[in-house]
Amino acid sequence: MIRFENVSKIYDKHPALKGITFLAGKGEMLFITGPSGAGKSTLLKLIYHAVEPDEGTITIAGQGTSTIRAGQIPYLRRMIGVVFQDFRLLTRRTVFENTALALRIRGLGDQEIKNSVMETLKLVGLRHKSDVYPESLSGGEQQRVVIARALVAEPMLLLADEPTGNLDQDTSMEILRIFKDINARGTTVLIATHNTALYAGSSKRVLRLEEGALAREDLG
Amino acid sequence: MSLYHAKSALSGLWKEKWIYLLSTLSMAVGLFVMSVGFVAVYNMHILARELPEKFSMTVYLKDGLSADDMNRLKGAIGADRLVSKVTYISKDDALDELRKSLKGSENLLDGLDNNPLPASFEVKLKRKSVEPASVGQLAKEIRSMQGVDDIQYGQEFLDQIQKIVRIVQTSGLTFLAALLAGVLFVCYTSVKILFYRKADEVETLKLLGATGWFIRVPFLLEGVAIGVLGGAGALAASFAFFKVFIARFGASMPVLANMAVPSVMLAALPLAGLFIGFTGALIALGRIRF
Ligand SMILES: Nc1ncnc2c1ncn2[C@@H]1O[C@H](COP(=O)(O)OP(=O)(O)OP(=O)(O)O)[C@@H](O)[C@H]1O
Ligand SMILES: [Mg+2]
Repeated sequence: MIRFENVSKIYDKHPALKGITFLAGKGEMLFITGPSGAGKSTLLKLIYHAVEPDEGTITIAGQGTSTIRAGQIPYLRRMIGVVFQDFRLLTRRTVFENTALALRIRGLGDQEIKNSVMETLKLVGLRHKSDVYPESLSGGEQQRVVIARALVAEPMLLLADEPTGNLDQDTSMEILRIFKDINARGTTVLIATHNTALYAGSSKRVLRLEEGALAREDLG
Repeated sequence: MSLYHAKSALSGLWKEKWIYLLSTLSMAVGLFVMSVGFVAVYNMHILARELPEKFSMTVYLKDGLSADDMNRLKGAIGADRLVSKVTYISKDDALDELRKSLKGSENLLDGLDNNPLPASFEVKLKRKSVEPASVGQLAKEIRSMQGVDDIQYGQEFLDQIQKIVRIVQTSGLTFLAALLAGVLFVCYTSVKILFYRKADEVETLKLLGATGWFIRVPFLLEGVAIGVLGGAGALAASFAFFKVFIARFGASMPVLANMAVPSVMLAALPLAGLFIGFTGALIALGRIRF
């Protein structure tokens, strides 16, 4: 599903990723960890084509990201649900509309959108907040809207960047259970996190980044 | 396009009301001035088209022409497709005419023992599509006919008027083109600004997998809205200007009172606004980069 071959990314002379090589199979669930600034977000951004590598090749679902035509990028991204570290919620849309966005861009009908969105909001425990604007939500609630938006279109690949950064332990475990559920239904899940509790004892692969390099790989 | 896009475009309306107001007003002013320019050019066009019928040619005949020759000549001139009417003016008629115009000093003519004035034809031209060049051509043909002594028509005057009309039309059209570029630029900038002010939202939509057209449509609608609203404003202004103001206060000035203001042009203003708004927005959005 994801193949990195000797991938490097340099931001204005500052190397953020150095020679990363790894493979994630279809249906796998794996974790990326490492200290702040190690390059976790950058690695995820490379996958959904928000940044381009300076070296190496990246292949997502058989599609090389450097050879992809610009017109195909939206379709690549539709295969991927992203829980952005910085949320990227639209302030002037309700929780419902923010979540619905992932379906609107696919041109789905209103009724279908309504059903899927309400179901997903229920999953993350925000059904009762569907008409509220993001600014009047707590940090954890906002995070769950982002998670709902990433899940609602049932992507083949889920990328979650620090998805429990604003959540308490109980809610974090609840979200982890949702991720495990969709993983069990075939979605490949890649989670970047500091939260060791998410992978401790999971027996999933954990890639550890340090200063932009892949330091080691363990089983959680 | 769907209801979603319309809502999305409308949602920005209130937040960006000053941008909307400013660009819609600029559009309205621009289109209004364009409609005034258009009416000027249009009226010049009508004037140019109707000019020749206001002219007549005077064809002076040689003395001693027989009635047969004269009739043949009259027929020949009348047969030309540019000619609408040929009137014979005899030597006596011409003298009467001269006498009338010398009112009070008719005695000047008393010493004449024979009439020195030639007989002539007054040739009226047809209303439409008469170019100065073809009038000149016609004059040349008539001059070469047997029995014709000379021909006079306001050639220089016709040329002069035609030149003025051409200058007004060319500068009018240039002016209209410049204004068109101006209003197009207004729409272009407005949409560009609206787009940049939503850069964050656009970036998010891109990352979620929206296509270029999905992103463009609300902004195209905003451009169209500015165009149509501006066009409607121009329609109101033009209506007030031409149909009310000039009709009431321009009556004392015959030039204005006789002006033709095509209603179709007024009605087309919002439509013109629509096209300009759409085009401006399309150029402003350009290619969406991913
Ligand atoms: N757009 C950018 N321009 C310049 N430098 C950047 C940019 N984005 C990230 N960096 C730098 O690249 C390095 C890796 O950043 P990245 O966001 O991938 O880290 P991270 O592992 O996700 O950190 P955190 O755990 O704090 O989220 C950092 O040193 C950061 O300052
Ligand atoms: Mg990060």
